[in-house]
Amino acid sequence: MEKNSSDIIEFDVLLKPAASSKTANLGNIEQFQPSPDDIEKCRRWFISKQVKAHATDFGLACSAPAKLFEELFRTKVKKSAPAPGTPAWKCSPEPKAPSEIENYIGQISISAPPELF
Amino acid sequence: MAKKKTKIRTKTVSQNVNFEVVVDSHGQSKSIFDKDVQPTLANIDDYRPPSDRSIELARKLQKNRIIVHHVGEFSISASCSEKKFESFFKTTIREKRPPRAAKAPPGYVMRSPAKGDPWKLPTADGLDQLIEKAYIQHDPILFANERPIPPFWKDKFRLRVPGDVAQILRATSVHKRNITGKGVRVVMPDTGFYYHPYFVEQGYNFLAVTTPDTIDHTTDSNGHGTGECANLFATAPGINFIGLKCGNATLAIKTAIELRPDVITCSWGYSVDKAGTTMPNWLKPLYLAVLSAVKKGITVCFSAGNGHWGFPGSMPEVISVGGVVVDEKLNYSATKYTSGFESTWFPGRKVPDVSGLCGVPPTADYIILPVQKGASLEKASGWGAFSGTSAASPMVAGVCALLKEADQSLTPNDIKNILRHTARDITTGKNAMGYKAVPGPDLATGAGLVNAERAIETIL
Repeated sequence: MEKNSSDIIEFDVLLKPAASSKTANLGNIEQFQPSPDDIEKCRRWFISKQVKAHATDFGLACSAPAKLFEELFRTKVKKSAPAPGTPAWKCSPEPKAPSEIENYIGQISISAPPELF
Repeated sequence: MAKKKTKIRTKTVSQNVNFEVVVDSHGQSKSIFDKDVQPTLANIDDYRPPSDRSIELARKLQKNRIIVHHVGEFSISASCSEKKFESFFKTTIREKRPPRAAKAPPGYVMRSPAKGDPWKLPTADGLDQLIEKAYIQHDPILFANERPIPPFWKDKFRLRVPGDVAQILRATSVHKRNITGKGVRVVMPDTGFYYHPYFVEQGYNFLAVTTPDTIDHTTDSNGHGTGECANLFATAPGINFIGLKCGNATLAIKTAIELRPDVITCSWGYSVDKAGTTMPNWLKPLYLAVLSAVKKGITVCFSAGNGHWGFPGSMPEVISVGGVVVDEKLNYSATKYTSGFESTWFPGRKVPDVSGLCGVPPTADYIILPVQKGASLEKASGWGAFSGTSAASPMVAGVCALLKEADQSLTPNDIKNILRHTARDITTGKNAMGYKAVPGPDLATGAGLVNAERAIETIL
């Protein structure tokens, strides 16, 4: 399926401590929390690039047009026919953080609407 | 500017018309149609025609095959087919759209003779001497499109909110002890929360808001959020409820946390916690958000799923809610509609913890719930029939709210333990994954159906 200019991609950005390879639990969750300054720095950067970005405790919840997503993260996205509860977009290669903020970013992942139970 | 003409269309099908016939009193009373008259309470008797003339007119209308529904003090309510009306009054009925200011619903049309069309009182039986005027009565435009109380649909057995749900979960007796969830804030992220007349009628403390990525907190075109939150109010009618219309699931949990709730209930998830898989990166932001909520002392309930391998319902930190069906003979059993499984991602975690009420396959159309008129889940009159573990989670969240009112110091883990140890054990039936309900905790219903009365008794 082809993308068009009105397609919006919803994605989550986890900052570095949050994207740790360790498993989080109630006992260690504080260790995963990035500094609020880092979150704010990244939020401002995304907003300056016309990305809608909302801070969460561990990163940012964002949305941007598909074309902008490709430009910012040096990837190509393709619409997929997803199973319910899975992302409607696939990207290749994996999204790469822009150099200005790469020191802060641990993971960029396309989100998916949940299934209603 | 040219005056816009009223669009008039001729009718396409003949149907019945209702009309009011005003009796000509021949000077024995004042006429409402006289110029410059204004009936008031003080002079209304002056406008009442003699009753014998009203009765005579009614009889003659009936003789001429007009249906008389009621002989009133001032007019006669009657009806006939459009064709009959046209021949009786020598006129033509046309369809006309109501003016925009009338705010009529789509498809609403007015049927009546247009201005300037021929009109003649019937002379048969001297009716022209008895009738002063006759006017077609248009259907009223309903100001609230939805019924404020649940309808009775007789095609099958279903539960009604709030009474049936509250009674079966033993919440009614807790409410009688004046524990209703007062002062407890519960947030529910979902498809939207329409302020249905049912919520108004019940006097619930209902607030709808949006996450930053959604718009219009007043609408819910799906119906899921609006309907399922009625299950929450059924068990905890006194809560401070905030319905959160959401898009991105992580942002929904984050926004919910910022509303500083005691309880969050989510009737959704992802069917992903399957054998041979690990948590994908794209779900890690949501995982951390949910974990963070529990860390902050918020009790988080999640639906286990309807045959789904539901995550975040499979997280050990949340209360995972499955389903139990109760039939009209009050037989309790597991239902093949709901999930129950051992988590792959969280070793040792068994889903669900406890259960609420849920219907059976294929559709689980088990509870009559309010929805916005025109919503996807509407069956009729602003009501739908559905359930799923989407219904069960808010029911259980309501019982969590009762416990929090009774003891603010309870932690999420305390609440989960109380619910598990006081639930009604379910020993018959199977769930969607084929697990049998047996005496004691099992994968079919967890510890069983939540029992609000027993739960409260453990702390009072």
